[in-house]
Amino acid sequence: MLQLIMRRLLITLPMLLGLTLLVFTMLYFSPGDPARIILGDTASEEEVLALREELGLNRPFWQQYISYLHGLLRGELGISYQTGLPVIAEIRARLPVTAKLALLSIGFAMLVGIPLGVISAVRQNSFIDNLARLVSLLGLTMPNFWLALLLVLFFSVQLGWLPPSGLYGPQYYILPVLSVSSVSIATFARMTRSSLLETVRHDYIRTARAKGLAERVVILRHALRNALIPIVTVVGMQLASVLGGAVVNEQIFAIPGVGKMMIDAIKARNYPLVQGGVLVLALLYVLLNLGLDLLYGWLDPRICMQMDGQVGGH
Amino acid sequence: MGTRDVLLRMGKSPLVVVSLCVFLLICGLTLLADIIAPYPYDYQDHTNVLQPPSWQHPMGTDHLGRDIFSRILHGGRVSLKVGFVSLAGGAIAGTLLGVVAGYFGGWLDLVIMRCVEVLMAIPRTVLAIAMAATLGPGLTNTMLAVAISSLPAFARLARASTLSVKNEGYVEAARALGATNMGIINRHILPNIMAPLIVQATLGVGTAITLAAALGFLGLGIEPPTPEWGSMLAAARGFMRDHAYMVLFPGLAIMLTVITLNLLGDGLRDALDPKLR
Repeated sequence: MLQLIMRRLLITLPMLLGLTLLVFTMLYFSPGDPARIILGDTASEEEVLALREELGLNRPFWQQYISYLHGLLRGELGISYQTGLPVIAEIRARLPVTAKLALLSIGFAMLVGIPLGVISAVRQNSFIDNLARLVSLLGLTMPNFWLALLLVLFFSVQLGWLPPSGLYGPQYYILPVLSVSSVSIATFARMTRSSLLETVRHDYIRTARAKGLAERVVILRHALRNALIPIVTVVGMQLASVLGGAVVNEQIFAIPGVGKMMIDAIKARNYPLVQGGVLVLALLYVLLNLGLDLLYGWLDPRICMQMDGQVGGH
Repeated sequence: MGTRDVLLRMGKSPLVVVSLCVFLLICGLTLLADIIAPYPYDYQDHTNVLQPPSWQHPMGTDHLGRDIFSRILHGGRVSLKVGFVSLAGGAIAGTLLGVVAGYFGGWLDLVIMRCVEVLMAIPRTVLAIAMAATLGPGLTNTMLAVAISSLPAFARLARASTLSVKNEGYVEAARALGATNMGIINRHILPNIMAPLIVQATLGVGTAITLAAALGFLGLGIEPPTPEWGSMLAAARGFMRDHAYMVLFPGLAIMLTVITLNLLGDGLRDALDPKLR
């Protein structure tokens, strides 16, 4: 297990370094002169030049990148062009909202998607199975920003049951979670169905049935347990989906998270905030995946054993 | 398995045949938008703003009196173009990188795959948003942003497929006969790894269309007055309380296109490898 942790960390560290380089490069090539954006169109050329010098924007790319890395190691992500506040402070205020939305969405997706997949597999080719497959297909193909609008139209405008936007209580999370989790619900349902159908063909399931165990026990205690291993790997992939979905849905539901901050910042050409947002969301994604990898190794010791003999695999 | 066999296998599934027909219909309608659309996409009739669906305007009119049906047809052309071109760009670049990494191995593999992993470390939508922010709005930049975000999946798939075929007997034989690396890649590697890549591409077009629509919806994609399904939804948001049809039709257009592409991709996958069914 320790070897697995070390190996994962060794892979993750260069990746994080590459990530900082990519994010910095994106900021470096962003349109517009940061000094001009900060000072506005009314500032004179001399003032702009002086600020460029002060911010170190005249230095070569590599020097600026190294300064950026130094800042990162001290927990600095630059200064917001608009408010003058440190980017890290702006993100710290919003990250819990985005993380909560993403985690609630992935949790809800598992809670709905996995049982849906189980029912679908147990009742293969029945009406319920076909309905569940249709729901999965719709979930996978319906753009979640459109679903968000339809949810608002139905639950907020037509029925008046739920608030359409803002974040002033737990009920404000319901519609965004429904919308963000739609793709993941569909993916979990599909994955559980196919994984369970594959597992029930194994000999030990036949043995369990031959022993006279109730079908419920066979499915829940024997089949589902083994079918869950590939499902755990899908959780990692779905984290990208829910984080991406959260960014878009925060804008629709006016939720003050990192995603809304980023989109607003792009429109205001406040690039340090955009850069900080991308970096933090990527970090969150990488760290959550690292945690999942370790959990996966702990759940299935064969992974650790395979790692002992495997180098540079993907 | 030849192309004919694959088509015959796909033809056995009614769902795939229906999906293909619907998709061809969507393509036909959007390609012939100039002829079929009852109005130019930017024609504003200020005496007919926010009209519900009628014989005159089958999908109603928007806040500027523009015919929504005409805009959806023209917008479809843009959305399909973005989907196909960006996916093709990401697929070609990703496949080339993956094949080079898998075939040559060593430091080239290390460098290419570490770069791909960095791209994969950013959730796809966030990466596309970040790229769109860096490049700025517009059709070409949207396509570039979507292409870059779809590149890593192809690179990984192409590398894995290349690794599985590069030590096959026919590759060894070609090498022994003095074939160059480029010749081997062109004649032996690429044709043998195409099947999973084509399936990935078919399934990926739908995702690319949705991603481009999301960028348009957020105001980071194609700029008005050019009609695009995502930006049409964004414009309709402010009026949806009393004019729900404004958000209904562009969303339906996206969903129908993506559903048909997904079903076609599933059908193609089943036809190419029935074991995956």
